[in-house]
Formats: sequence, C-alpha cells, structure tokens
Amino acid sequence: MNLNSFKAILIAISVMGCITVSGIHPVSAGFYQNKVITIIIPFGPGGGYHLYSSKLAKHIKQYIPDNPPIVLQFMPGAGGLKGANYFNSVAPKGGTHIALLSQTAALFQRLNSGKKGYRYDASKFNYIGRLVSMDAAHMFFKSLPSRDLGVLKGKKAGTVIACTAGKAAQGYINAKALSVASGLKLKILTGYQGSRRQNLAMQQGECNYQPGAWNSWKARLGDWIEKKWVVPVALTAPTRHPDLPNVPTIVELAKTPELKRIMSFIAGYAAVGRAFSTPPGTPKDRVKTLRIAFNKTVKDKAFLAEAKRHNMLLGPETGDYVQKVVENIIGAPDDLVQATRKMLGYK
Amino acid sequence: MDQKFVKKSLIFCAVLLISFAAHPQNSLAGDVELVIGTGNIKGNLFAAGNAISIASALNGKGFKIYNYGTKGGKDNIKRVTKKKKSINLGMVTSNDLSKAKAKQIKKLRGLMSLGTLKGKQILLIVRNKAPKKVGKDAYQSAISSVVKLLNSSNAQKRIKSAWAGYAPKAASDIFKNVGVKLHTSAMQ
Repeated sequence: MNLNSFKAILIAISVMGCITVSGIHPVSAGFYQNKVITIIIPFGPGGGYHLYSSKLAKHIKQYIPDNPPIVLQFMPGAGGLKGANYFNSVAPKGGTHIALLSQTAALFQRLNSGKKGYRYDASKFNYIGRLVSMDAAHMFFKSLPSRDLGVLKGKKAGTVIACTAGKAAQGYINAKALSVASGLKLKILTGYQGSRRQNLAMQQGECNYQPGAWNSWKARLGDWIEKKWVVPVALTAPTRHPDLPNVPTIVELAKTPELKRIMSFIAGYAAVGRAFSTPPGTPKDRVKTLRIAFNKTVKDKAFLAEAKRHNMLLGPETGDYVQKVVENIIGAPDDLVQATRKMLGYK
Repeated sequence: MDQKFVKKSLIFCAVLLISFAAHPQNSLAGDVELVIGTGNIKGNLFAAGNAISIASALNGKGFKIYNYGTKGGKDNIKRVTKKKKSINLGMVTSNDLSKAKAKQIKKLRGLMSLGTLKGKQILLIVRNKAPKKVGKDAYQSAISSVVKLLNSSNAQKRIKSAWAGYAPKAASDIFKNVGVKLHTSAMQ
C-alpha cells in the first residue's frame, strides 16, 4: 500500500469516526438549523390527538438533525376536513410541517370522491409512521337483555339502540357495518356529539350500544370494562386485537364474499390509526430523515416510559406500512365504493 | 508515515468533539404547554398566532405556545373560561369582553394589547387557573415569560411579518373599563 492510499483510508476513518462520535446525521444535515417543526392537528386541544402529538414531539426531536424545536397547531373544523385541506394545499412542503390527520381521512375521501369539500388526496401524503391502530370496539351496555349477538338477533328490531354523532361520523359507519355484517336489527340514533354525551345517553337509558376506539375505551373507561358495564361484541379492524382474542371482527361476521369485501374496505381505516405524515411534495430525503427519527423514537426507553405513564397504548408501524394501507383504501374499485355507500344509505 | 498529518487529524477530531459537547442540547424536561386561541385559519390573527408559537419555540424558556384556530374573540372567551379542555390565552376585542358574562369575566385576567386589526384593538387575555398537572407557580412564571417574549425585539420582528398591526403595549384602562382584572404579570 502506498502512502497516498494509506492517507485516504485514514481520512475516511477520521471523518466516519467523527460523524459517529459527534452524532451528526448524514441526511439533510443543516436543513433544520434554526427551523421549527409544526405538527398540525385537525382537532381541538385536550384529546387523544393532542396527547399523542405532544409526546411524540417531545421525544422525536432528539433524533432529527439539529434537534429542531417542535410546536403543535390546532385546526379543528368539519371533522378534520378543514385541517386536511389546509395541510394539502397551504402547509409548507419543505419538511417542517407534519400532521396527525384523522384516521378516516382516506376512507371518507374515497367514499366521497368527486364531492365538494375534499381538496386532498390522502395517498399523496408521505406517512412517516403510526403510533397505534384505532380498532373500533362495538360495546354493548349492561342494560341489554343479553350481550350475545346470536341471542340478540332473535329479539325484536330496535332492542339494540346505538347513539352516534351523525350519518357521516365514524360511529354511524361502524354501527351500520355491524348491523349489516351480523344481521342484527339495530336502531341508530344520531345527534350525540362526542363520546361523553354518548356515554351519558347510555347511562340514562336512551341507548345501549356505542361503537368507539378500543384504545380510547381502555384509557377513558377502563373501570366500566372491568365491571363489565360494557362488553365488546365485535371489532371494526382487519384482524383481531391482541387484547381481545375472542372478539370477532366485522369481516369475520360478514357471511357473503361481497359483504366481506365491504367490511374489509371499512375496516381499513382502523389500520391507519394515529399516523403522522408530511404534505405531498416533501423532498424524499427529508421524509426519510423523519421516518428514521420516528422509528427510533418508538423504541426510545424514555418515550415508552412516558407513554405508559399517560396510559397511551402503542402499536407502532412504519411509514411504508401506513402508505400501503392508505393506497389500498384510495385504490378501492368503484363498484366496491358504490356498494359501501349503498349499504351506509348515502345518496 | 507523515506525523504532521496524523497530528492534524487528531486535532480535527478533538475540535469536533469539543464543539459537540459545547452545543446546547434540547433537554427532555417538560416545558409548560400553553394554547393560544387566535381566530379563523385564513385570518391575520391565526398567522400571528403561528409566529408567536414559533417565537416561543425558538426564544421561549420553560414554555411553549401552541396556536389554536378558533371562531374568534367570543369563542376564545368561552374556551379560556371553560372547565374542561380549556385554552390558556386568547385574542379578543374590548367589544367581546363587554358582552361576556360576569361568570366568565371572573375566570380570566387581562394581559396586554397586541395591536390593531381593521381598526379594532386586539387584547390578550389569560385563564386564571393553571392547567392540570402544572403547578400554580410554574404557570405564573410561564405567563410572565410570555409577556417578556411578546415584547422582545426578536418576537416583535417575527410577529410583525405575519401581522403588520402588531404593536404590544399596556391596556390596563381598557381592561378596567370592561371590568376585567389585570394579571400580576400584565404589562403596565
């Protein structure tokens, strides 16, 4: 080996060593210097979206080059639609803006394609990762004569009453899906805004069934579950939940292949869950940097400890996984979308 | 072997290590999170709220301000005085305050005037009660730091670029006229 090649090797080793020791990130180094990352939340403060974003913001910055500070921005309106439209069209695309959009953004976009108001394409967002899936549990209240779907099917129509926010809400879609998949003759009441209002309605005897995210049930009303005031009878999810191995999914409950297709399409939104994304057109290297940072954060001991302290359930998945789930929802064939709309009673 | 070269490489590594050690790392200690209710997401006040939020992230110590697009002054008063899921700071006009209920007025305090928009003076109000899991002293100190930040030249420059009418000043007379008590850290 001559002296020049030995020098070249020594330079390479020095540079690599210095990079490793000093923690300089090779991707996009310098871009986040003196910049602030904004996480857009299409809902108000104080809920699950705030909690998950705030904790991720606190821990992810150490894995992003230059450790940029992160702030949250709340943009509620139209069930998350306002925030999603803003994120798609107005938010800067350089890699300084991230959003935690509604898990139903893709499903609602596909169900309402061609309709006014949806100015985004969920499949064009760059997903950086998911913290937890949002499988919906169909919870039956203690006031029902039975919590067995087989027994309830034999009872007269209207024995099981669901309270939901409105026809375009997740609760309504879930209740309708359970009714069609299981053959249960449900009565669905609308106009109950928010889960607190719906819980109160159950206690007051106005209804006896409420579909909602399993994670949220566990975090908010774990005592109701322990006392068996509410029992999950089915799940809106592509697969069974590890917490509930004996509870079937609506896909399993569906009898015909056509119905199974519809239920799988609806259940897709649960797999999107609490997913973070960047707007369309974000440079690929910055998306990569954020994905790496996200994947490191979900393994970070301090983050995991804090999540436990705040009763945050986690079921992380990579950005690639979420991207595929969303692309499947958006790429659903027209006949499937029409059949789903018909089932939901949409015009 | 070129001894000078090895020496230079080692010095280079040492300088890098020292500069890394001297670089301030963002601590994981929790900042007090404050939410400011501004206005419609297409309006000037929302843009100003973003600038305030960014200024708090870059120059604030021990606190962070998050921007919340609301329906305006009336909505901000409602949210600042709400029992659950409340916000901490709100942009309002004196007209909004004069229409507020006595019960609501009791729960808020006046901080300062932020500037003018369409001929109306925009005031900053603050929730009296500290958020959950935040000590009373920590909350008071965070609010005091917010007032200092909003008066700092760095923040003023940033906020003015989003809202030309930004001109922070005391508004004790306006608050007194509408029956709003001043916060202990209010601009006098």
